[in-house]
Amino acid sequence: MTTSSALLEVRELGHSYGRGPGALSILDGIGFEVEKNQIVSLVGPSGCGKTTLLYAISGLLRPSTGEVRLRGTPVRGVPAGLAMVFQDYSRSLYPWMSIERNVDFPLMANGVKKQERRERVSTCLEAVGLAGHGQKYPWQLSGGMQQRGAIARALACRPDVLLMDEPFASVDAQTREDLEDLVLSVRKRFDTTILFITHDIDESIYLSDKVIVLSKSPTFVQDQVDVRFSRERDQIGTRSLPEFGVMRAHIASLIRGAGAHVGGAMVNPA
Amino acid sequence: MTGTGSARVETLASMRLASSGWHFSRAFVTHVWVLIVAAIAWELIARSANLFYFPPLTTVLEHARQMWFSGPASSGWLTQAFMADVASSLLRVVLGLLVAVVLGVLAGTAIGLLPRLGDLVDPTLQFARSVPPVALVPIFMLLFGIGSEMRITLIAFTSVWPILLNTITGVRSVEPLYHATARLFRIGIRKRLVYIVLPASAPLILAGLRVSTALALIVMVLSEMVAATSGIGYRLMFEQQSCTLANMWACIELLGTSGYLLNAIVVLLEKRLLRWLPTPRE
Repeated sequence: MTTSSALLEVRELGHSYGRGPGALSILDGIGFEVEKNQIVSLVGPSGCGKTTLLYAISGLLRPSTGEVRLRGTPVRGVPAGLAMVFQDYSRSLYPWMSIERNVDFPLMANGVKKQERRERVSTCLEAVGLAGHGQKYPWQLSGGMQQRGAIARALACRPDVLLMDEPFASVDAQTREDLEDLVLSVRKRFDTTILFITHDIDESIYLSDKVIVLSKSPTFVQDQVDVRFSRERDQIGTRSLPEFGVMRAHIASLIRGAGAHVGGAMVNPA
Repeated sequence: MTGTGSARVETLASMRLASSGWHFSRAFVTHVWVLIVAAIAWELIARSANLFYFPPLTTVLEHARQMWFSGPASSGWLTQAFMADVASSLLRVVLGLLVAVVLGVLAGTAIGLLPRLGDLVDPTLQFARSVPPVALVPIFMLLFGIGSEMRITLIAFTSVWPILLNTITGVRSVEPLYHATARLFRIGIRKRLVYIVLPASAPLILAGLRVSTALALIVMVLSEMVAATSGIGYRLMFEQQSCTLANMWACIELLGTSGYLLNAIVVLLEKRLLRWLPTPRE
């Protein structure tokens, strides 16, 4: 376990806010690994401390215990080689920059040469289906297209690991399926490794090579479910496989059970 | 829901953008007649009343022409008096505002980003901004003499507050996710300031600038009424004391026009800098 080849390793990650007896424990010894070119999903009940977990993984927050390793190196501060797609695209894309400029800005700020920037920006915009929309401001695009812009921005940085924080939670169902397939095509085209956070069990199975099921807060890993479908997936075909249903039931019962285990006082285990 | 919402905003905003030129000319046609009626009323009332203190508009305009716009063609028909009165006044306003913008934005950004510094200087700022600028004229005269420096300093001191306070508010209310995103993409502090903090606070800073511009004009006139030898304020007092009242009224007309034009310039600047806003403010 110690000498692992994993690209991203999370070990015994724990975090609590405050100190002493009044401390609020959010994460309780979380551990998992993400191999290169995998898509791994984190799925859990609402309020499972996933924002804290994500901030700890991305180096925005220093965890109380445990560590995160990227390519074997412990993460301290935001490491190079991480990029993030946030749930709230409307507040993460910069409204005063055109889509193109949004994608270009992190590259420019990190000293990528102009010629290469231009190539990367146009490649990534094309890959997410936004070719020809680069000059527009984010608010001139629909929600789904804005999120495509955010994905292009993350891809342009050529990240070792792409973190996606419930990226499709605020778009409609049809757009959501299109964007899920976009994630799969992007992984194939750019060899991207993706850590995907979602509340949607079906989405986690459909996209992933491995689903990590989290508990309610204080959060630990309840189970790691390997998804052994081929990487070529299909919205209708894959979702109607019998194994898909079995996995869904298994994960759903874990997540529902997560409410009960916290204590008998739970009146409304949603 | 989000889809339709943003689509609606989109059409609304593009309609507004496309129509802003048309909107402006229509507003001009529908509202400017009030101004013309007011001018005609002034003319008629002044002529019928025939008061010494209240000359007709045409007389005022003729005096303004003689005073300021009857110079040689080589200097654009502007007279020496125009340079002494108007140009020097406007230069003071512009310089004073420039100083106010630079200081206000720099200090406001620092205070907005550093809460401890904010706590430290807040009482002092509240005190300093509560002092009526007029009360400072004697002190500024002692400190800076009776030249342009004193007047520019007074203008800057007065108009720095709205810019400073709005910059502080603007910088403090920058969406936290903008900062988190910037940190994640490893954007250095200097680039974050220039490309994220400033544009995000620009709407508030520019609103502050608009208030400051109006204040600057007031303080300009005021400062020129004391121990001055040039400027519109000086000219205004001079003509009043010489009982050349048509000239005095010309100064007032000119002040109104200058204020209107200055404000128009700031509004244009605002529109240009904030054209990324989904719904441009009118």
